[in-house]
Amino acid sequence: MFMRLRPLMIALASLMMGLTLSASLPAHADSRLDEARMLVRTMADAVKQAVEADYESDEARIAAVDGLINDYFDFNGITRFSAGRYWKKASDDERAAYTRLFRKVLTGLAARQFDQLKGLNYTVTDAVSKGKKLALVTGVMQDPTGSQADAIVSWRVSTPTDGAPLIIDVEIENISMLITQQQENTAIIRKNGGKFSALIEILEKTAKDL
Amino acid sequence: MIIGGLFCNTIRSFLLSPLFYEGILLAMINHSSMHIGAKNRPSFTHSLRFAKAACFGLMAVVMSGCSSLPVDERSDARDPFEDTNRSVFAFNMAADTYVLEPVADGYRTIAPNAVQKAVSNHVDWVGLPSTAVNSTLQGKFKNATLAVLHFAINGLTLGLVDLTADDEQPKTEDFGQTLAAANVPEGAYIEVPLLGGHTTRSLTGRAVDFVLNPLSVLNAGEVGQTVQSAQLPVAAVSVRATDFEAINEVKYNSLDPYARARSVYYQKRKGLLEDRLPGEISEGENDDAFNSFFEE
Repeated sequence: MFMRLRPLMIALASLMMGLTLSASLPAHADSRLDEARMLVRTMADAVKQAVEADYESDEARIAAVDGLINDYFDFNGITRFSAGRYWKKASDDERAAYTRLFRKVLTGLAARQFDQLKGLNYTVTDAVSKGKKLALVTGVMQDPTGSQADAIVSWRVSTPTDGAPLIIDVEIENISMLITQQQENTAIIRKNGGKFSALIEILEKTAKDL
Repeated sequence: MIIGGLFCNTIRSFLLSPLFYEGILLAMINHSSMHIGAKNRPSFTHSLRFAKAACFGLMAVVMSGCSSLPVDERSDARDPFEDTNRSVFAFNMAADTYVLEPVADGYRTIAPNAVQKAVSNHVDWVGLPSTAVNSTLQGKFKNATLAVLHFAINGLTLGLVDLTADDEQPKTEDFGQTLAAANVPEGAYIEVPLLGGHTTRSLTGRAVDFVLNPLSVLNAGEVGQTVQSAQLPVAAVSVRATDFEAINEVKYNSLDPYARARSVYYQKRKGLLEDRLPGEISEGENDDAFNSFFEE
């Protein structure tokens, strides 16, 4: 009796497993999207607080930016992505120098622009899954005074199954800032015969001028 | 938001840069026209012809003097005339520094917000006939209808007040997009003096769109000609003023402003070709780039 029913039971078990999996996949995707949404909302609140705060010195302002990057951004991923295919060709020393200088330039420029973000509000409006490991959270940046037009800003968030979600890119009006940075960096390297050191030299100069 | 703010530079910047330079060009044309007696003053049609001839003549001179770089010497495979383009870009930046930037700075300081908004609305309104024609040519009849309706309704105020702000907005369609829809190849990247970055296809489209200005189409007489003559320089100043800090950040703080402007141009253009509204999510090259990065 059992032997005769075995194929049927296997089929039923497979069906049940399939149903369970198909039910859990959207649930997993939903939780990933929820995490990504929450990260962006929290980050937006933290940035608003940081922007409104008073700083005694430029160094304190830069430290605040640095803290935000640590908490909400996948800086290692951003750094590697921004160097494009030349990251793999760079030596360990070059990678270390690039990472240090890129961070210095990024935080320095962002700190300088803090005042431009004062008074702006960011509201999340949508989130979609982008492949197995990424999500795109979209929202609108608004100036309550109405003196600046609304800007649609999307955040690409890495959502690993074994770690916390982190932001890797921002898109404004369909333009990816990280891809723009990568193309800019790659252009510098290519114009200098493929030398990664050329990019480091330019970053060094920019960091000094900040 | 930090990085968003930081790179807002890039975004807002060179997206409309051709408009700035077109404005400068028109301003120069009008300036030269003012030195001619009223009776002998060339009509705007002549000015248009002159502008177009000047653009293409200038381009022909520039491009004939530049040689195509081997692929491995280019910083971007789509940019065979990079060395020449970089020289032209430097010239355009100087024009911005000495003409547009100071004028825009004064405008945003002096003009009230309401005036700036009205001018910005008018700039958008002027582009609607081109959108209507090109949507029709591409078979996008709903978009064409929307453009005609918005143009007609807002025409009551010459586009100064956006009476249709709460309604569905038409997507911008230009003749470059029409050429793309007809599978015309994109061509090389070209930095045009005073007109900014283009592909050869989009530059051709721009020349056609230039004559689709409502006042040009309606042949609106002496007053219309004067208004049309003022439109582009005013638009150039308006756009530059709106995104003043963002453009300056790209101009003064990029590692390689030319490469950044080129990258932004291509991404912006791609969004237009895919008919994406700002912030509209779609599958694309960016997704592929990030997905392959995370799969490594």
